[in-house]
Formats: sequence, structure tokens, C-alpha cells
Amino acid sequence: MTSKPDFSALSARHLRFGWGSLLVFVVLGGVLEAMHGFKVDWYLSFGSETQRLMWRLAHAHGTLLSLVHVAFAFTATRCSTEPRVASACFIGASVALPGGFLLGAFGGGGGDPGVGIALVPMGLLLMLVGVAACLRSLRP
Amino acid sequence: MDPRLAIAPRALLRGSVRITSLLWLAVILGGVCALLPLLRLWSDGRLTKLAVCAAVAVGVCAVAICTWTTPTSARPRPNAPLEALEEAYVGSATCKSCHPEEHSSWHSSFHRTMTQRASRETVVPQFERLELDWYGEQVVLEWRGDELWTRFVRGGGQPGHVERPIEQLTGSHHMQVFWYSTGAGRELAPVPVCFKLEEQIWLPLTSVFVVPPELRDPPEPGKWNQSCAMCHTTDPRPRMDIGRTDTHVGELGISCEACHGPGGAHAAANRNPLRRWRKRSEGRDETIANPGTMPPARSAEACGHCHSVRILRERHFDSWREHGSPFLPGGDLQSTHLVIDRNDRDAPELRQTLRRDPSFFASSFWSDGEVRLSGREFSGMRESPCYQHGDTTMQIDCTSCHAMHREEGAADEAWRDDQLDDGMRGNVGCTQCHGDLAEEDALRAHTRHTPGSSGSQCYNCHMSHTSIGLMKASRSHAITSPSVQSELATGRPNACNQCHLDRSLGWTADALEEGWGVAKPELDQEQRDVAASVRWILTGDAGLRMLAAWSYGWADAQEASGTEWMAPYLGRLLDDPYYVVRFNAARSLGSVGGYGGVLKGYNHLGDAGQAAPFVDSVRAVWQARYTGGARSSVLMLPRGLDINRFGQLYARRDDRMVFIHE
Repeated sequence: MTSKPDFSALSARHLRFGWGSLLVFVVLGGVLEAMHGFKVDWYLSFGSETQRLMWRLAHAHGTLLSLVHVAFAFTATRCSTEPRVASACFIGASVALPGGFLLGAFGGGGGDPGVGIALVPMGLLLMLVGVAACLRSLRP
Repeated sequence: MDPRLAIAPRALLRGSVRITSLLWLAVILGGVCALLPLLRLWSDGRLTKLAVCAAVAVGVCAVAICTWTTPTSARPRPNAPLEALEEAYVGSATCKSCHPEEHSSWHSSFHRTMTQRASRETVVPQFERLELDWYGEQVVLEWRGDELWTRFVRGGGQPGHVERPIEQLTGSHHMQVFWYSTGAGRELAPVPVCFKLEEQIWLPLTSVFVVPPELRDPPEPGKWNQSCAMCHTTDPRPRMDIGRTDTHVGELGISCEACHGPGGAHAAANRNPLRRWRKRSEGRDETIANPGTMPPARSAEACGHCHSVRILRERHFDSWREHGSPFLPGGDLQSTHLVIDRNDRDAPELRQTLRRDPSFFASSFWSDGEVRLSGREFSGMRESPCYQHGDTTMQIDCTSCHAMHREEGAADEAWRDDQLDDGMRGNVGCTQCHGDLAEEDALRAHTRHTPGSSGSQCYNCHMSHTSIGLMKASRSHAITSPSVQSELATGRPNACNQCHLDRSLGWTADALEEGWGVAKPELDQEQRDVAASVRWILTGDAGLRMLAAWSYGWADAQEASGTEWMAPYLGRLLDDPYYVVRFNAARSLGSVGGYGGVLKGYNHLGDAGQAAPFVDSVRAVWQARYTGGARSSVLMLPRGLDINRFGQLYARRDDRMVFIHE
């Protein structure tokens, strides 16, 4: 009889990461909403609509990826092999995707984001690899 | 002027370069951080450390490279008008956050691009270096990096060699004018050539106006700061004094606050989301001026602040120099400005203007006071019964027909051209009040033209093309009825004959009497027999000849009058003393068809000797083709033109000097 592998450490790490980043990005969202709602000068007069869009996208991607981490923490306990690659990719994507949008808000012009946006495709790639690796780890 | 000064000192650029470099560093470090978890999987930690070290090294190199090589167009502009918002203003970018749709349609309008900084994005003609002719002198335009420079020898009262950077552009719809900084504070002066957008040609600046051809010097330095900026920017402040030109503007171009007034109080009040919700349901907000909801007179005056012939009231002269116009949208234009009409010849505000330019009234108005310049539509509209209406619910204003904003995606090319509201290209503008004419039978009875034809369009009879500007004729906004009597009194072409170019005043007088009961004025034999447009061309002054030349190319007039007889008349104007007349004659001749080959090589800016052969060539080509037979109104004998009569009339051409100051 084989015993079920124990991935509880990895699962706990993603739960901490997920809830922690959810806290960060929900706070970011709240700040952005408040600045828009109360038409705060600094926010409205700062740069362009593209910059504000970048920050909103950073908030949205960061928040959703936080939930992915929480979901992944529970998924990891059902995996047959330790999903180390998926774990690494999800953490990497959580840095690159919202980080790319945040940085992309700076240094752009003419409706285009700044060079920071280059991190976003990397984050997307990591996300895709992570999802595929997660599926692979779930194979019986 | 040392051209090296065009490039900002490196030290001034460091700030923006450092930001770019730091961004690159942040991107590289961010990428490494994102990949760290993966790297850790396949290494014992040494690879990770190596990767971090490599990333830091690459980042530092990137910063170093960027610091020394990154080009930037940012530079101080100590000699260009300064964009600086006054305290009460917020700028169009702030308006956009709450009004993105309105901002979008304004952004696509020509109002926004009326004044722009000169850059590779805003300069329409594509070139690296151009050598242009300005009445025999050379004008050079060349890009030096991302800066446009001009070089030429200035003539007239301001002689001297000019080699200066071009700072600003005026226009993006019909033509583009280039302004260089003179170096005297923030003073601008025009490059003596401009670019005509439709034809994609360069023209001497003075040649685009109806002015005597001897007048070749462009407007004097400082004209932009003192005059043009007042309507071509938002919240302009001339800040001009003896020895000082320190012009400030809120925004270049005509932006939100030019029509809505300063938005600072509005933006501050509406930071409160509950107030926004309450005001939206009320449908009005007293913290901002909105021409769309103002009483008609106030709304029209908001546009009329620029679109009229006006002058500042004398008591505001001093404060204007420092603070600009005291008028704010929603206010009473008449209290701050004299909107000039024919009764104002003795107004104290006009003393200086009339001393400087005795032809001011003749160049701005027809003799009955109807405005003669395009772009001054309020001056025309306020003379109209539809505006002078006692009932404000029926009184028209500019927004009766025009819309400054469109819904998302609806700001198409046709709208951009004249900003007419939906449906206003037909009769809807008029039938909003004159509802009885919306029915086809009523329209046919009133217009005596087939519904749908050009003669059944209200504006073709009541808003004819008698205003001059931008090298063409524009519709008068003085809404009047066709009148032969008015033409006899003022010389202004009547609407019927501007379409029926082959008909005489006598024919029009008969038609007006028969159809509309207008009493027939007394006419001499020539007025009864000879087509009015033929008389305009052969005996009229330069303004009249220009309107006639334009009308011969108007598609509606060509359909109503036929074109087979037109060429000798348009050909006659090819060596007209006035360049604008020649330009319109050549353009109309091109639209008649079959004369493209004859016109090859024709330069409307050539001297009389160069243009004269084209007059003969056009007539010869026409003579060989003409099969129209005898038509006495247009001086056609069975076998061609009545040369004697033509010559007799042409000998009476009105050669008095005409200045139409746009």
C-alpha cells in the first residue's frame, strides 16, 4: 500500500502567498477606487488615461492571481506528484503580470505603456506553463 | 543663431533619462524575480546567485548606456509661448476623466489642433529639407533632429536674415501655417510660406488672402501673441508690454475650457460622488458653463467670442494685456466686447483700428453690414430674423445646427469638416421651427424646386456662399431671402444667380416676382440680358471675381447651369491680378473637365506674362469643342463667344484695391 504524498508545506506556502497578495491588491484597488471616486487631483492629473488603465489592470490581475494561488493551494493536496514547476510558475506570474502593468504605467507616451509592459508577456507565459504543469501533476 | 542651441544641454535632459534607465533596471530585476522560483528548481542556489548578479550587471550597463545615448525631445522652450494653467483652469486631461466621450470627439476635432507645437507628428507635409520659393526669395525648412528650422531673408519693413526654430503650427484642416520664435521673449513670427492641405502645395502666406498682389510681406512679428492666440488657444494671456513678450496660454488649441469656461470649481465640487449623482439626475450643474443648455443668446455669444467681427471694449484694454479676455462663456459678450456692425464707425474702440486700416469696414462687411469674412458666423447670424426672434424658445443659436460633441465612434470625417449635427445637412435645421415646410408638397410650393434637388435645400437660397476666407467661398450665416434689390445696393451676389450662373438679374427678378411676389427693381438693359455671373467675372472687383470663380466650380451650380460655356470665363481669370482669384479659377476649370492638359504647367503665382498664354490656350481648346449654340445671356453666338461684347465688359473691370483681412 502506497501512502498519499504530503504536499502540505507547498500548499501552506501558496495559501500564505495568495491571501497576502490578495490583501495587497485589494488595498491597491480600494485606493484607486477612492482616488477616482473623489477625483483626487494627483491621480487625475497624473499622466494619461493609459497610466490609470495600467494601474487598474495591475489591481485586477494581482487580485485574480491571488485567488489562483488560494485555489492552487487546495489543488496541490490532490496532486499525485509535487507540483513544484506549477508553484514556481504561479509565483513568477504573480510577480511579472501585475508588476509589468504597474511598471508599464511609467515612461510611456502617445497612448502606449512604458517598457515595464515587457514583463506582462513573460508573466503570461509563466501562467500558461504553470497551468499545464498543474494539470500534469494531477495525473493519476 | 548657433544651431547647436537647438539641442537642449545634456544636463537638462538627465532627469527624464534617469527615469527611463531606472525603468529598464526595474524591468530586468522584475523579470529575474519572476524567474527565480523556476531557477531554484534546477540549481543548488549558485545558479540563482549567478542570475541575480548577471541581472544587476545588465541593469547597471543598461542605465549607463541609456544615460549617454537615450535621445529625448524634451527641451525647455524659453522663446515659445508658455503653456501654464491659471488657478481656475484644470486643462482638458482633467475633463477627460469624467467626460471621456466628449473628450474623445473634441480630440478628433480641428478645434483641438488649431494650434500645436511643431513636431514630426504634427507637421503634415513629409520632408527632411525643403527649399521653397517666396516671390523669388528662398525659404528653407529643414529638420534638425526632431526640431524644424527655417531660414530665409526677411523683406519689407523687417529686413534681415532669419534662421530660427519653428515652435508652433496653426491649422490642420485647410492649411498649416508655421511660426518661428524671434528670440525676443516669447514672440512668434510667421514663416512666409504655408502648406495648403487639400492640394498638398506650398504657397506664399499672403497669396492665400484676397489682398493686392503687391502685398507680399507676412504679418509682422508678435501678431500671433497679440491677435491669433486670442482665438486659437485656450485662456490666452498676451503679457505684452514695451520690450516684453511673455505670452502664456492655458492650452494650445481650442480645448474644453475655451467653450465651457474655467473648470477648476466644477472639478473641485464634483470630487464628491454624491454631488455628481445628484447633478446628473438634475441635468444641470451651475459650476460649469454649458453652451448646450444656456439661453440661445448666451450660447451663441460663447461661440461668437471668436466667431464674430469684434473688438474688446476700451475699458478692458489694460487688464487684457496681462490677463487676456475678460469674457467667459455664459457671460454677456456685449459687455466686454463690441460686436461690430455697420453702425459702429464712430465707436471709440475702433479709432485705432480705422487709423491703421481705413478699409476695415469695406474689407469685413458688405455695404449693408452683412459680414463678408468667413469664420465670423455669429456676426451674420445675429442679423437674422431667426436669431432676433422675441420668443427665446424659437430663437436659434449655433447649437441649433452644430454639435461640438458626438457619441463614441460617430466623430466621422463629415462631422469633423463642419461639425454639423445629425440630419443638419438637409432641411431639418430649418424645419425644426418651419415645420410646415417639412412636407414635400409644401416644400415644392415654397421653393418651386423639386424636393431633394439642390434648389429645395433651404440653405442654398437663404445662406448663400457670400463669405470669403481660406481661399474659398463660405455660407453666409445671415439668414436672408434672395434679393435682386440687395445685389443692386451692395454688389453681393444673390443666391439665385450663384446657382443659376447662366441667368441674368432680370431673369431672377422675374422669377422672384412670379414665385414669391417680390417687387421687381428697375434694371438696365445689361442687367436684364447678361448673366449675373458673367458680369461679376468681367466687371466685378476682386472679391466678386473670387466668389464667381468659386461658384463656377460648385457642383450644384454646375448642375443647374451646365458647364459647356464656362471655360472662356474661367480662363479669363487665369491671369487675374489677385492670386486667390486665379487659384479658384484654375480649380473650377479643373472641375469642368477636359482642361487638365491645358492647365499643365500653369502656376497661379506666376507673373502676368507667364499666365497670359494659358488664357488663350483655354479659349482655343474651348472654341474647338463648343457645340452649345447661341445663348445671349452668356454672350454666346451660334459659332462661339461674342468677343466684342466680352471685351467691352472686361474693359470695365473694377480694379479698385480689395483687402479682405481674414
